[in-house]
Amino acid sequence: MTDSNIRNFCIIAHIDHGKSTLADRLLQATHTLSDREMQEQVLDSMDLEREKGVTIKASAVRMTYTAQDGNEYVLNLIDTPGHVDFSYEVSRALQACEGAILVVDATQGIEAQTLANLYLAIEADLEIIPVINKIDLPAAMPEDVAEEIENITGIPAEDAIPISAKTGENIEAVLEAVVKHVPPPQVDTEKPLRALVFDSHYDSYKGVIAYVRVFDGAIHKREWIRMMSNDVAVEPIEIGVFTPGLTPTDRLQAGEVGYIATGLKTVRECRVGDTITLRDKPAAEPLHGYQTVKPMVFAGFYPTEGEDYALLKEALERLQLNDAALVYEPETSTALNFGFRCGFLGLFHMEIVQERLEREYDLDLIATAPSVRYEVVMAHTGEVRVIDSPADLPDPSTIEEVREPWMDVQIFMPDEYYGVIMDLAVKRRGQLTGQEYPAPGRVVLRFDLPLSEIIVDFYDKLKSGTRGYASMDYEFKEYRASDLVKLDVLVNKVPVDALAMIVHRDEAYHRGQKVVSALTKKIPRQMFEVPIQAAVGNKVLSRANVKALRKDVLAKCYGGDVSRKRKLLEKQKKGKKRMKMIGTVEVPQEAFMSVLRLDD
Amino acid sequence: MRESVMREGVGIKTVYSSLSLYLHIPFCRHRCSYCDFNTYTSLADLQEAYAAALIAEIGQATGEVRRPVHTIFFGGGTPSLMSPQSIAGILQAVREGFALSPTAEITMEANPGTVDEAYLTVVHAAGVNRLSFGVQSAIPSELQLLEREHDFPTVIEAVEMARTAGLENFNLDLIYGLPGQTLASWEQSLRAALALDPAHFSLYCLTIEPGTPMQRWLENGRISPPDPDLAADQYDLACHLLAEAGLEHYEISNWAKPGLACEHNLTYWRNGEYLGLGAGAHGHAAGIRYEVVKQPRVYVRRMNTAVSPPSYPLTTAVARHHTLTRREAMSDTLITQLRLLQEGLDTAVFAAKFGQTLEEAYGDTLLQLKEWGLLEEGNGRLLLTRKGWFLSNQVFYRFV
Repeated sequence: MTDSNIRNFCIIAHIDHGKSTLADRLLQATHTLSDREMQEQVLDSMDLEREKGVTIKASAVRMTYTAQDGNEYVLNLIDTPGHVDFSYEVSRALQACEGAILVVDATQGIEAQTLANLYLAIEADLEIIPVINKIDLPAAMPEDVAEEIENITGIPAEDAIPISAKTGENIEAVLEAVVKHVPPPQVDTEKPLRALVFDSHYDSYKGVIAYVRVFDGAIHKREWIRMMSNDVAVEPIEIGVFTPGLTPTDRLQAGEVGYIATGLKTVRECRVGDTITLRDKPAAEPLHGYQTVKPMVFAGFYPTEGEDYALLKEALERLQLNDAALVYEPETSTALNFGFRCGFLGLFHMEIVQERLEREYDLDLIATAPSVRYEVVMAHTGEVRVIDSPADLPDPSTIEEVREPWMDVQIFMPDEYYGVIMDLAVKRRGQLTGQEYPAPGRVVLRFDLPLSEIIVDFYDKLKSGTRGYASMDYEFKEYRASDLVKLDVLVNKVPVDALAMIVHRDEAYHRGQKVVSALTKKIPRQMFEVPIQAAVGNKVLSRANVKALRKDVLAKCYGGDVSRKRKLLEKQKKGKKRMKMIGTVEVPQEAFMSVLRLDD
Repeated sequence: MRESVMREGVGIKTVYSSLSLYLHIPFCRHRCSYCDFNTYTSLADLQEAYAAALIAEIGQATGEVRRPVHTIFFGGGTPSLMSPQSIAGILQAVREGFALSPTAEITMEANPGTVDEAYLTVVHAAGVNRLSFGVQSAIPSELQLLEREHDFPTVIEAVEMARTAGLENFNLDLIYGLPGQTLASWEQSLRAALALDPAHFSLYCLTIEPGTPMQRWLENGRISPPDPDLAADQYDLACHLLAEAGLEHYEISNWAKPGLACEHNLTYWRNGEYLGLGAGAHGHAAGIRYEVVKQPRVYVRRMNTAVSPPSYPLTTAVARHHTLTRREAMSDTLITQLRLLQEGLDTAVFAAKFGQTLEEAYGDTLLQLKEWGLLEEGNGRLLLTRKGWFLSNQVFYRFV
């Protein structure tokens, strides 16, 4: 049985290719929002997202559309996050749909991220509707882009719909294609309830609000539900649909997209990918594909001012309410005192969390260099220890081997940058595993690359080396044994735990030199000479000195202006107060930051 | 302080400590590339009105009693741009409002090339008995970089004219730490200046101030930033050369022939009391630090508006003032007094004045600074060490 009036679909697009603008136009064309209510980019509700131009969290909206065949349809648009760190969330959003609009910029062609999501969509058996956007631009090449899409998807070039989301040109054609080509959901309202959680957010009144796609059965308001992964059962506070605000309804049934306000206190109890069923009439099996996302990248977050520790703790707790992927635990550093070891899906996720902590909670943070999670096999016992902080690496003599995560990386770019990218990947220990030419002048390279090499400004280098034209996607492949060593950094002969890093033995010398040179520039001259060293074990690989300060005098005291002199001294004192003490050496925040971005 | 008068009241005797007066003259013919002082190049028409306003302010600042004054300093700007009549009028006003000591030190800043013998003779007759010449360098390329309007031969002439006019007691200002300056070129400037046998030297390390042309040149790469280690070497060289020439290094940036230290500046360094008069001047008296309005036109307007003046030491031209807390007064004492390299800070006087010993107030800081070899104590005095001369800010900021 099908519910022939419902169409569930999403939009797949690269950053800046116009997903949000297209979504706005669809909302306008279906009169879901009046022009007056129309706010630019309704779907991206967080400021940060708007600034970064990407969608961090998925969202959904229900539209009603009267098609040319005279029938009224319910169109559920499910938004998908636009970054590699959130690929699991993307896969769940795709699972909630029967079709996907593939938006490609007529001036740019397909990018790696889009391609990756497109493959996910094809795997999820979604009907793909290619749309070529920005045809109003003089540099638009809709025919070439259509051909590229045909080469990749096998969808005939002439089926791609040329539009301009900006001017509104041909938007109606997109809606008609959705109605015509996206299959209606297969539904069975008699079966026990199975609803897929494809997103959620925390609301301080209604608790966790689960965004669901109902596959089987139906739920009525105030019917007790059960989360199938953890057996948590609750009586929902409310159920409803997105218009795009939350609008309560009495019933959600198979084929529909809506929300369940669960009253749960954290998103961890109601994770993306989980299946919701009824407590009193449970389904036998959950929907397939649930997994707990695991953090891949770890870093220490420390407040610059020690007294902000409590505030940082509270801020992390609050963020975690809405972010099931964020993990943290207290960590102590001899250099930075009290902070938290935090785990993230990737670097981008880490940046977002850091920015939110600094912006929304007015915290001043020092983040240590990001690390991956290593598996350390101990000699003799064969015990496997998992560590995510270089400081925790056991003594080398007790270690049998160290394994690190390797990723399957695909990089999509114009072929003129082939050499640049090969160089970059090989320098980062990359192994080429495949190449394809999906369109004339375009190439996809596949590499196996250690994640630890990717998280150290790989993406920045990729972008700068290709004038922004290359794009990248990656997923976890496997753990592999590598010849890894701990690189210690010593300031005035004291090892600084917050600066230690785990690196490949062949890279240790090079990285040691970079770190020492960066620190020598960032640590101001002190009252005494300060040696900066990089060492592996007892072997010093690199050394440089921050020379002792020789002169620091305010010569002038013009016309008895002691107040001005005083102000300058107070400023100097304030600057010093913000520094971290390593032994007797004053180290500014930037010194810790500088280690995060080392030039090759 | 050195002089004082007693006022006989109804059974009350009040002792007034002697003051210094700073008089600001905010006019220049040209603004030099490193200068961020309160000075203006387009206000020549204001000079007479300004002198009148300054005379009015002196009248206000007097307060209820003629306080003793032992030093006057005309600073700028370029005070030597003022007519000798204006200078005489201003000094006359001081004599009327204050008990000016007959042996008072009266200094005028002058730029070489702005004065001639006749001018100097007249201002000398009016009471000026000490000059301070802005020499800065003897090297043409350095003077050009600083955008000074004179060359070194003009300095030689100015010094000769000063002597002829009877002004033997003069200071020369020089600048080191300049972009492009070398140790050798600095030595050349020092030796050239020493050959003029001045009574006093002020040597200033260049600070590139925000908003100056030099700051812009630094930003756009026209000049490269001065090397702080070279500046330290230059300072070190100056210490040696001037000591050889028999000059006493009495303050971080100041050297003098025995007995000819600048009395006016000593008031600042002893954290003593001085009135600041004229646009943008700063004063410190009766436990208050204050600042006069900067804009000369606003200053003149304020002094021309008839309102009853606030109480001593403020005048109607004062823009801001701040009553010092005990803690501020303590640290001000330290950061000024320690600049006097031989005299330093008398620890007993400090304890008596603030009811707290230095150790009680700054124990750990003192220990740390002594350990680093920046401070030393002996004969009841706290002094910067020779190493501390070079690193005085590292000492001072820990006290503020």
